[in-house]
Amino acid sequence: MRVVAEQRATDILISAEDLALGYPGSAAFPGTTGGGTNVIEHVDLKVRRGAIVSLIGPSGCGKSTLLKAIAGLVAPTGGTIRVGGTTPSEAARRRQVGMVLQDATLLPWKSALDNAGFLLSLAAPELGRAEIRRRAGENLRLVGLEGAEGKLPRQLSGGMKQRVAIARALTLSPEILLLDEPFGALDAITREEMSYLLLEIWERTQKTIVLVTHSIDEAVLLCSDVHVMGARPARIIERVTVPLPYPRDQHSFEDARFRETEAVLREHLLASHGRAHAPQRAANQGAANRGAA
Amino acid sequence: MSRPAQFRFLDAAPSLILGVILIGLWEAAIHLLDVNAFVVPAPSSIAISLVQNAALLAEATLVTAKEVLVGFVLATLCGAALALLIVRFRMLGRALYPIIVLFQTVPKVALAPIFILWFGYDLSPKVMLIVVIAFFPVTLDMLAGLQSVDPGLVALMRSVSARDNDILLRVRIPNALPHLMAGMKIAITLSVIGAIVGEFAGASAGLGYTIQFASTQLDTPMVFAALVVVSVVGVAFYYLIELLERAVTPWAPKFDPAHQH
Ligand SMILES: Nc1ncnc2c1ncn2[C@@H]1O[C@H](COP(=O)(O)OP(=O)(O)O)[C@@H](O)[C@H]1O
Ligand SMILES: [Mg+2]
Repeated sequence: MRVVAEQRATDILISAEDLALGYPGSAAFPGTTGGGTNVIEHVDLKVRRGAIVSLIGPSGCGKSTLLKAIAGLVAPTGGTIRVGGTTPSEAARRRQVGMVLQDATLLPWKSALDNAGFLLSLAAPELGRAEIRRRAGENLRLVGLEGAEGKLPRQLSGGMKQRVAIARALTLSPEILLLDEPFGALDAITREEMSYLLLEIWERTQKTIVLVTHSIDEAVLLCSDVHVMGARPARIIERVTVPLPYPRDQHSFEDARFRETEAVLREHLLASHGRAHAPQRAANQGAANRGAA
Repeated sequence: MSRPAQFRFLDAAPSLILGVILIGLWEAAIHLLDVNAFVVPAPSSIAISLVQNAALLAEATLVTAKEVLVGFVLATLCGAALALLIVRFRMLGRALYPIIVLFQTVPKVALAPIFILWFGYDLSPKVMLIVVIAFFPVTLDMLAGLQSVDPGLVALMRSVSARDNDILLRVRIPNALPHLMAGMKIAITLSVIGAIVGEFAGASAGLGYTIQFASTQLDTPMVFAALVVVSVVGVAFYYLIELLERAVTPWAPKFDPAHQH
């Protein structure tokens, strides 16, 4: 599995170089830095095809903005960003990018099936209703919602709604899945279930996944690389590779390397919040904890 | 879950009991204090007047109900169309909206005599008055509905290069329907007021006209009888809108004061 992951890792699907992002007039927002209108500056990011990576960092540091830039929703104010060898907006037009947000944002008057097919029906109405429904149904099955096709959103639990949102993104048949704190509004158990679901989807579909999360556990469990972002100035301060082999499951938590990586990330995150811990100490501490356990 | 639309006796029971008690107290007070029916009629004399003038009141009801219905439908159409224009054409919206809000500060009841002057004594001045009085809540609620689409969802749609028209037709308008229904419920009660005021200002038929005519005759029981009919008409229209709401937006949560959590 690991070998396969590295083989298909040869080409870079998403690459950003010296990327700067901002909103018009965002200097007026508290929390923006540098006096300019940029939210993010000097970001370098490379995501290999088929990888599952995450962005973690303090609130407001620009994770969602970076994700929006990959989806072509925010244009760079400096540097370059390429998705699948083209511009992000062109990639989005070719339906290479599917996105899932913290809130499922389903249409309350549409069934789970029609919600799952909704974005595809906007993007490619020429496929026809029957074909769109067929694909939507396929992806509802993939996220474990077989039998719930006809249900309205208000008849679904939070976790099920988020599954529909994932199915909606997958129904576009994108190469890239962007997930912005997708499980942030769910309870702990549902969250963990959704993590395993995401692992399963990733293993089955070989999508390239970029996951924004606040949960270190989630990042370590799911991802091969974790990009730690820092505020003031907003940038990527560290890239941590998770040395756990795939496939991963609930037993991955028991692996010593899991806890070690977790400790390293915690230290980096504290640093990104402006607390002056030397990241180097984290590794030693992780080792010490392991010894004590 | 969607609730059955039919009348539920148990839900209505508290109001019914309270209503009967209040009417009983009213009746007793009139007799005990020996109030003249021409000042305040007892419920029993109102009932008698209702029966005696049934044919006349029925005729007046038809006239007023027609005014309310035509005026309300036009007010709803104008109100909703205005909201759509404001949302779809931003520049126009920016120009229109302050003017509409400003217009709200005009006491529109005062326009009734002018409409009579312009349009005469029959249906059209009442309809105009109703439109002017009742379109605003429809516009406001419809606007809120059109604009309350989750920005995240809009971003998702934009990411697959959906056009503004698609977003309007497939998301904003359906999303606005429950809001529109709420605005229509306010508009229907305002429409009844508009019709009555319009008839006060100048009419030869209708419940408002009947109220005015009966009061010049010092027939207070008849005034109250006509008022009762006006309320019944108002309530009937209101529940028609509720039925429409259940039919059009079965997915939307309903506010039901009888079943608060
Ligand atoms: N639409 C917007 N217009 C202007 N500023 C924005 C907008 N969205 C986010 N920002 C600002 O950009 C910064 C980064 O936001 P965001 O990318 O959402 O951070 P994160 O997802 O890491 O919490 C914040 O300071 C926020 O105030
Ligand atoms: Mg965010």
